[in-house]
Amino acid sequence: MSFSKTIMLRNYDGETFVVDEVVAVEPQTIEHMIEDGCANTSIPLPNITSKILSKVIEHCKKHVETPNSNEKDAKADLKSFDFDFVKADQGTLFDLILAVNYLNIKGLLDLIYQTIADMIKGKTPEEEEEMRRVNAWVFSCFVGVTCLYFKSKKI
Amino acid sequence: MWNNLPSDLLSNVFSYLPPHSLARAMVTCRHWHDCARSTTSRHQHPPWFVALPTRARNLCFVHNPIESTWHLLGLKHVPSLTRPVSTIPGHGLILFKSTGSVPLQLSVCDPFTSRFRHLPQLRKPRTNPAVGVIEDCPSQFNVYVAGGMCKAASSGAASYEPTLEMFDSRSKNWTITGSMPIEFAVRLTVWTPNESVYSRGVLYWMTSARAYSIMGFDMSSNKWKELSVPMGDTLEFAAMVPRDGKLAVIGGTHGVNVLVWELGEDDKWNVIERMPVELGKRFVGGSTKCVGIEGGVCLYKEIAKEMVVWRKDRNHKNKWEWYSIEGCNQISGKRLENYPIKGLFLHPNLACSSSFF
Repeated sequence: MSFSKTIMLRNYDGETFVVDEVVAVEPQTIEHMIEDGCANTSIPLPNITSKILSKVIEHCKKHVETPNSNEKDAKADLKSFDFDFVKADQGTLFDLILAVNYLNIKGLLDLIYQTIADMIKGKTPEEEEEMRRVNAWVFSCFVGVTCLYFKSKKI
Repeated sequence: MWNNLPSDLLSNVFSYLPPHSLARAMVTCRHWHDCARSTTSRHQHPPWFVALPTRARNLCFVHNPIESTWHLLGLKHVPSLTRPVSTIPGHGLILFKSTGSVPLQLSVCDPFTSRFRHLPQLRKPRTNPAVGVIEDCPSQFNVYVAGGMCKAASSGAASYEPTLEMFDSRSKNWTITGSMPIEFAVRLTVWTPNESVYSRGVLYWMTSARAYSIMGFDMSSNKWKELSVPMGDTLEFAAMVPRDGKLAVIGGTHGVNVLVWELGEDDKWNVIERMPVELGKRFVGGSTKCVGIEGGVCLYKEIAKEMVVWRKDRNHKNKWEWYSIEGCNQISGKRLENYPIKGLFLHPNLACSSSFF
């Protein structure tokens, strides 16, 4: 059995997580800390809860463990994992985006940003109209150039 | 809770929104308005096809590629006796030029806000030169004018103008950047009325009809060159397309046999794609035109006829797919005239007006 180096992450709740180095370096922030020699005992992540940190580690592990091939199966498997991963409540998503932004994990960041953008995109015109109407008094000052696209006739 | 999301993270979320969703987000509340304004679009969104009827200067059809819907915009300020030349795609602007035998007058228009602005007069007034656009970064673009004819001061006889002029959108001035061989000035005058493509440091123009050929100006070495177009004397329609930074040509005969070639390192053309035969069969008859941009190509006829698009797949970055889109033949239930159109592509600036105005 080969000895693989592990890294200890200590978080907000005081809990420690032991992860393989290859997984731990997925977050660029941690990779830089290790390169700078700050990882002798454990890496402190004081602003991340256990719940969120374990979710992040789960994602990093999955992506590290899945072989980096162009095979349809491997890609489909990852895609379905990612799809289920972001099926979280809004509170979790909110905490996730802050944590992942701090940890700087590009792939996961793209995934979460896209998920939140899709949530915004999904509003029906009626819901947006309501939001606009409620906030109209704020906007009377700001709406400068009128956007013809929305006045244009949809065909 | 979401109100506590830092503004820079919210701006990042917005950069994933397609143009119309971004514009909607912008009018929901002050905080979102400010964040949306400062969002830099990632341009991973597909470009929009714009169709300008050649005989109805004040109309502009745009196709939203995400919802697959047509919209009709009214362009209030576009003067008569102008025609669209190309777009400044990253800025969401259409570039118009004066028609007829008057010295060239260029103007830009944002079709979504109907803002319109004339560019200043050229340093050397000329008629029918080639017009090109280079966008180096989101906040700046340059317009180039090459060749054309000018009246000689003394005799009043017209002669070719062998100079290249450049307009800088930041300083809003024209400068003469250099001279050019007279034979290129001749070839670029009149015969290159369409859009240019900038690839690997070279600004290219293509002649507008058979036999097609391409002229290129190398910005760094200041040298001009001519390239033959594959099947240049048999193609019935052709257009240049930038493709992943390289120069490509799409062209066909009878709308059935459509090929795409890419220019290799050694200035040799390689066939990289052929339009599927089933799509080609639906496209037969009449005169076909085409236009391209980074990430998409469109083959079209008149506004009401079916169009064929070849576009980068949003989910698989290296894959391109062929689609057909229905033309636009009615507004609010009323049948529309089947306008002949000039087709262009751009990335709409729906959230805020271009800083150029």
